[in-house]
Amino acid sequence: MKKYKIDLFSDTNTNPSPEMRRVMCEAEVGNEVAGEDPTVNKLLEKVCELLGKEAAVFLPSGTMCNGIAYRVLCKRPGDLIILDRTAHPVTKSSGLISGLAQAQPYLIKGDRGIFTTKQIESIITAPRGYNVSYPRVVSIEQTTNFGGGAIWPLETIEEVCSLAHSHEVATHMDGARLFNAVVETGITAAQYAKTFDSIWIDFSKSLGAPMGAVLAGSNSFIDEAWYYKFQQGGGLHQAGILAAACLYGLDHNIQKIPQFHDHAKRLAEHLSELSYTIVDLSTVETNVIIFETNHPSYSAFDIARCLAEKSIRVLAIDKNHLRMMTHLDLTEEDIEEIISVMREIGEHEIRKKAVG
Amino acid sequence: MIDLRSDTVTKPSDEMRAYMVEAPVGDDAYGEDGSVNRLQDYCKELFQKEDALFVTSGMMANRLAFLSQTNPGDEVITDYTYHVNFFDSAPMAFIAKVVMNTWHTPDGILRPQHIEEALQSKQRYDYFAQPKLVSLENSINGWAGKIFPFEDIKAVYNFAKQNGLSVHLDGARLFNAHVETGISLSEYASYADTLSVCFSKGLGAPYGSMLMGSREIINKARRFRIWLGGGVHQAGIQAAAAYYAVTHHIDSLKRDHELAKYLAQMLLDIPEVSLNYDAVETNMVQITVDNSDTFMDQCAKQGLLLFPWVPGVVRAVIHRHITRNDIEKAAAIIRNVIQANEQKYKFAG
Repeated sequence: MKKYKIDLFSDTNTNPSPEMRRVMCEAEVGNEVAGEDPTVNKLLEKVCELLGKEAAVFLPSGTMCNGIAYRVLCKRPGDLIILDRTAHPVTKSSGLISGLAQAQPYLIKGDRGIFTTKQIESIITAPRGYNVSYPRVVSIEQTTNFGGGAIWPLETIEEVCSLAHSHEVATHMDGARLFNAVVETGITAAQYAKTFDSIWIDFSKSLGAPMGAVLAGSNSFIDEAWYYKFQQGGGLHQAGILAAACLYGLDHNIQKIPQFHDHAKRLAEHLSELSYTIVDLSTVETNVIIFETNHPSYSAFDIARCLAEKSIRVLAIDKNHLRMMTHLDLTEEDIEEIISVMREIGEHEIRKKAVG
Repeated sequence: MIDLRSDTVTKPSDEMRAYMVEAPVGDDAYGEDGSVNRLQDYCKELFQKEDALFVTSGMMANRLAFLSQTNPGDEVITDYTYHVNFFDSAPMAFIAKVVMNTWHTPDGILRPQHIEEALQSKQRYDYFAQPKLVSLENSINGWAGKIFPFEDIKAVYNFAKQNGLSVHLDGARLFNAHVETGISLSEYASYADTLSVCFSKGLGAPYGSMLMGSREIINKARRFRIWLGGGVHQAGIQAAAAYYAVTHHIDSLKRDHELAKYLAQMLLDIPEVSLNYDAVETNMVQITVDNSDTFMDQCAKQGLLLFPWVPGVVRAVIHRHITRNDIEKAAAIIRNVIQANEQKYKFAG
């Protein structure tokens, strides 16, 4: 019952497979808010092991993980959260940082969502006083979403976290697409997670589960997170059905990620051959393609509309940029169809111009 | 083990699971999940409300109801014992940033006279807290499943409208009130600006609540849902379970109520127990007992789980998994525990 035949708008819009649905159907369940759902508990144990963290909590969404983590890590209203200006909590979570965490985003202009110690040194080391906001959290996104799926290098992560910790600033990883980085670099999730006080992973993106995320950290961090989980309405009852899908995603779908990373690279190559696109192939590291368009008469919004008419959905970020995300449900044929429709959009307009 | 701690412990049935497995899904974050939309449309029709929003939990629904009908610093009038205050006062303060003006009513029914008193309880200059919302609950958890009388709901609603107040109904167990009174869900809903209902209690779905109201209010709630992290992707599988529950399980709540009365009846036969049989209106039986922790431990050892409400008060909540035989066993366990420790427990209804 998908609205579009081919959906490259986001990797969140994957349909749980029949096998995943079957394990959901058969999942053993209990009352999650009481810590009594065996499948949720199994998932939490597994994630703790994967990330090398003491404790974890199941939450309905990644956005709730960010909100709760910020609330635990910030100490006073007005505290600063340092993030890239393209970070999802800044661009796509409504008023979460100010409205919910009562914090201020301190925005860094990173390179495709990745910043360096040099860029945050001045704010991290700034003298504290009663008249200034305290930097409290450095928040990074692995991989960067609106940075184009770029992978934070482990070395940069370690430097940034080390600088933060030496000034009593906490570190947080939005790991919505952590496994995309893991399969691409071969660096384990635990290695990436090591220097973070707080980290979450999402199951509804590359892992193909319908919904759900797990936030992990120290025992005391997760204990406090539970308080806010209740406050925000994230306490669930028989959540094991969802957790079963998440476990299935961990066990079966990580290995499928390389395939749709290849799809992204191939799609990008084809896109780069079109007359009205500027694609930097070196930026296609994972499953996200962000590229410039310079069609003679169509803005990126127009191109997205033309594609939608052919039941293909992409995201127009602004009038000159499109984003496409590859995912589990995408096939080879889909890629060919996108390219053929994209070609038509170029040619059709040129023909029209010649006539008109 | 007979689990009478809460009706939230219910597990999805095989039929419900089979239904879930087939559910068509889409991305609810873009409003495109067919199963979620079908459930929302069904509830709009069933409750005769303009708009409906499927959310993770009753707590989230109530939070969103407050957020979307108040500004920070506004006042909400409610009874001290209602869930929105009794359990949720901290998040309502932090997230909705409202001031609670709570009234201790003698019988749990917040009537116009109490709201009037609450309104008059302080000076009302423009620059002080502005009363905006009255929050009711039906059935009332804090009063062991008591039904809010319909005439009183109407009176509160009319009084609120005369005084420029909105009314929210926390209907976590409204289905229980509905099957008992025979008053339709849409009639109940017509006396509330917003209402929330929960699928994960007596109805037996694993998850989810519905917030309903005008399009304008629910649109606001949609935005606040993102703040709270309630925007989810393929929620359709959960929505399918809720749809199954609301289309198949409402009538069977009546059976839960009969079993609750049956349990109360059997407890009445235990000379050491005194309880108010007439207070058992829906699916809960509440008993007062000294040393309630020890009492509960001993019941648990014999295979019966009860819920500690406040120190000295223990409750049994009846739900779909409980049979008549379970009730008889539960009563026998309670009798055993009491009679083995006669001097240690003192009961009062």
